Amino acid sequence: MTFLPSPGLFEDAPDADLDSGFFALEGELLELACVRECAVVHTELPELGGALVVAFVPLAPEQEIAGRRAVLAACQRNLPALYAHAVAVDELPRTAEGAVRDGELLDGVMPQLARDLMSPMAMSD
Amino acid sequence: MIKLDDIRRHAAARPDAIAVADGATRLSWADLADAADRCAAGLMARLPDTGPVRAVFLARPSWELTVALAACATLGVPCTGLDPAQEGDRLDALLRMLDPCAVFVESRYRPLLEGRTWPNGPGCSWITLDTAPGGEADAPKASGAPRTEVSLRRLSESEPLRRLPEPRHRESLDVVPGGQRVAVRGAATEGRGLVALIDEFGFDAYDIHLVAAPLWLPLSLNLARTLLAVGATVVLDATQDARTLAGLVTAEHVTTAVFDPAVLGRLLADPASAPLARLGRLRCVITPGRHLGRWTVNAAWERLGPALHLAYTTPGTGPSVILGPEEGQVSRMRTGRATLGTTIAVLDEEGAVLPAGRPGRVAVGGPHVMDGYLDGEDDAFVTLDTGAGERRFFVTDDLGVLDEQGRLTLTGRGSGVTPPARDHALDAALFRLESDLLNLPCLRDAAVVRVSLPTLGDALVVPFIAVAVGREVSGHTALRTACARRVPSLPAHVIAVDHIPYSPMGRIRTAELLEAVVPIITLSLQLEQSERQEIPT
Repeated sequence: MTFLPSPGLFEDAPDADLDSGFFALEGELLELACVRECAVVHTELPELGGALVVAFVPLAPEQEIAGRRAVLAACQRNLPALYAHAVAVDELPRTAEGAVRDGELLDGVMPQLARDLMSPMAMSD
Repeated sequence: MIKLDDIRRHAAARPDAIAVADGATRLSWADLADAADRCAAGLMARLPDTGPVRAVFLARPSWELTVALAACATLGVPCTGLDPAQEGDRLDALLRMLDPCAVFVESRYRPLLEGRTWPNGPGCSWITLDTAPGGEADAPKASGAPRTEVSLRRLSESEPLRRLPEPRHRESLDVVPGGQRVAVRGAATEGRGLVALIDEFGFDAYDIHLVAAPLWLPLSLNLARTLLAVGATVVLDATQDARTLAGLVTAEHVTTAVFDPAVLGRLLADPASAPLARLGRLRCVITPGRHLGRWTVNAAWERLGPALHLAYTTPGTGPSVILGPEEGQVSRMRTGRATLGTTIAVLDEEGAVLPAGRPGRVAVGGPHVMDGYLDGEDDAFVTLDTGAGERRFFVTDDLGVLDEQGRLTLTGRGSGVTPPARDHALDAALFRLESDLLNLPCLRDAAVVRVSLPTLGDALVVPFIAVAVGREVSGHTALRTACARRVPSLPAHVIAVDHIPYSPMGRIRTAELLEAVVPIITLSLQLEQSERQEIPT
């Protein structure tokens, strides 16, 4: 017997859920003491569609892996339906008010995202 | 900024006390009074007699900018700071909205304004704040531009004012983030806000205030003005360098400071900030705190002592909510209490005030709230009675919840999650390029880094390790071809390297890599350019 998914099973989550989950995630990421800085952007990735890109500045090079785990765990808790990719950066581009320059951040991390998604190590994520 | 009569009052009381310190330049109150007086006289002669008279500035913090702002305040000319990092379209829209008659500009930001038009543009006075190396800063005019240009130094050679003129306007203008609207504050609102800040933080004439955030940021300008108003010393920094800032805090005996959040992060991460807490003089550090996280609060406590105040501020509301150093240790981020005189209310969808514990739209009433928008629309204001009589509130785009003690926690934005605008075709091309690189047999490794640098513009930097010594040329050709095929819209700078630095997680250390290759690429481009010029010769 073939299992047929009910209509709407793979539709995007309602926007209200995305909004509340996204802001809860933002709040949780701000509380992480194991990364220096963190920013989350909701965007469309080539061939993947809607995804969360979380850029973080690790406390130290050797704490990059721990920071990535913590960041991805927060994403999993708050927005489990969305694919999340965490990428470490040297610095987050910010305005003088402190807001992250989303476009500039994505421009900077997109080649690294492409590399991560193409390489076997990142495929295991 | 502070007006001339206030500067003169301080100059009469303490003429030799330092008012403004900017690197090696130190202006006493007497010096500042003289400079602002002459600058105001020179500026007055260049302003039109009728119509709204406004000015804008594009500059980093400097003593010249302080003098210019004091002159504008004396004449009653609202002088609005513009963010040099904003997009050209937004800058155009803002210039048309503000329609300035005078532009104060630092040489480095001059190209941002060249070629832009606004109604008063042809008759606008351009005042260059810094003197370019080699003498007077008056740069050549753009072709066909009838505007007048003068340096601040020349403007300050004018004879002092014989009597203080009647202010042209009694308002200040602040750009709302995004550059779509301009917030207006009348003189009375400004005065109430200033008094409230003095009461909130206990500023006095013995404070030494470090400005480590651009003065176009309303919080930074308000604090500088407040500290000058009480007769304190203002120390200006334009370097945004962590070590320089740590040195300034120590050498100038800084007691209060305002920081750009990114600069604060760099300072806290730098070993040079380690001894600052032991100095014990720094008592109040203020920074826009909406986007800062736990690490910043913890590191600031350790490195600066109990001094960090996170301010939740917008040009519309002013500094309405503050998270103090002690509260920061026990409260969630994005939480704070209302500043003195400010009332926070949380509204439901119908605009009714919600009780504590119920989330809704945040509204702010108090001395820091703006009077309205420059375009005259006041749809964001409501009149509410929160128990102390009717009061005008500004309804923000923030969502939040108040607790029983009156602490506000921001929980979201009314406008929801807005994905940034992307060129999806370019993103897809970058993915395909990465796939191509994995399949190139003539490379051992390659890294694609997208940069936006003054020397290279928006471009790709592609360092690679050739498969063997002597195979660099074939690798270079293959990479250039791949980049031109996949991402033709971006210039690619391909360069052979011996080593590509990686983090333990396999991330390319872009900062380290770019530090090594960008100077070589820049030099190579300069050589190519000079060769091209030599051939026709």
